[in-house]
Amino acid sequence: MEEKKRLRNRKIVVRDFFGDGDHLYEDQLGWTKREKREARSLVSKEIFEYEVVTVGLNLAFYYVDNDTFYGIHTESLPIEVKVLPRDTPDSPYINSQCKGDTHARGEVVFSCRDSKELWDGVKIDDKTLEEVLNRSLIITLN
Amino acid sequence: MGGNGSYSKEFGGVKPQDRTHYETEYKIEGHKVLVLQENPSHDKIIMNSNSRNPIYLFASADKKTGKLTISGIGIYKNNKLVESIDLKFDSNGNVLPFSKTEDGSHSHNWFEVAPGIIGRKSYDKSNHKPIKQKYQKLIDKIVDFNKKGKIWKKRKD
Repeated sequence: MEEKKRLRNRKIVVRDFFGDGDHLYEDQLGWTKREKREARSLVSKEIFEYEVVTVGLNLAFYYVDNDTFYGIHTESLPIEVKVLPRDTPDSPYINSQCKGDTHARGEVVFSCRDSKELWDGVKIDDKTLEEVLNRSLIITLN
Repeated sequence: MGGNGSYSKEFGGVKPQDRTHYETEYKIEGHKVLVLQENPSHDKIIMNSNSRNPIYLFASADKKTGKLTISGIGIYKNNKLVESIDLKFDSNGNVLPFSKTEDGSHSHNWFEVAPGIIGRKSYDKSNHKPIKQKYQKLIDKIVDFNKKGKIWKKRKD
């Protein structure tokens, strides 16, 4: 009964995001438990700095509030934050529309030569990177 | 690491949201084909291995058909990722060659960036490398595997 109540109280942010009846829920947004454990932190900035700056991973995410896939590509200079193209835009499920490959070419919304500039420098729709990631599904860290 | 069988079923096994990957029933040249993108929220490279010096082949599975596509290779030494290969394909499923503009297949080295932390030297052009010739035979077999349209049937825990 408690489990059913818990499931009923989950807030859907995008219906059928992964498939028919397979929704994207608010509790799936932002950093996962695994990233928090790896970074040994609950602080978004510290997790970002661990995964993207220290380990050096590329990051791709789907920002719910403007229905856009973004990628932060750290493999080369300048580091680019870009809109990722939808590889299969005709797919009925948003999750399947973009591979989350940050190598893909796309509109660059921010660039810098030092990953430490990313956290404070990136703004999407006047929102900070922290605000954006809190409202995003992280789809790639590699 | 979260792979199949690494936790006792008596303790409930590995929760889906905690998994890093799933093992498929497939191997190429003895190397396991792993699905990374089963968890809908994640495609994350595996930084450590249970085996000492394995090579893992990273695949994604089409959500509708279950068709597997291998697009990455991880090479591990002493349980740590030391090299990764990103494979890019053309519309016919053939591997694109290395390109300095990053459109092609390439490899990266990984090492200890801080005590106990494996990472790569990001934004280092010298760490965007051509793939070593010794992996060519394996890559040819990966291309064949992808073209055969192998289906992944997820094992229930």
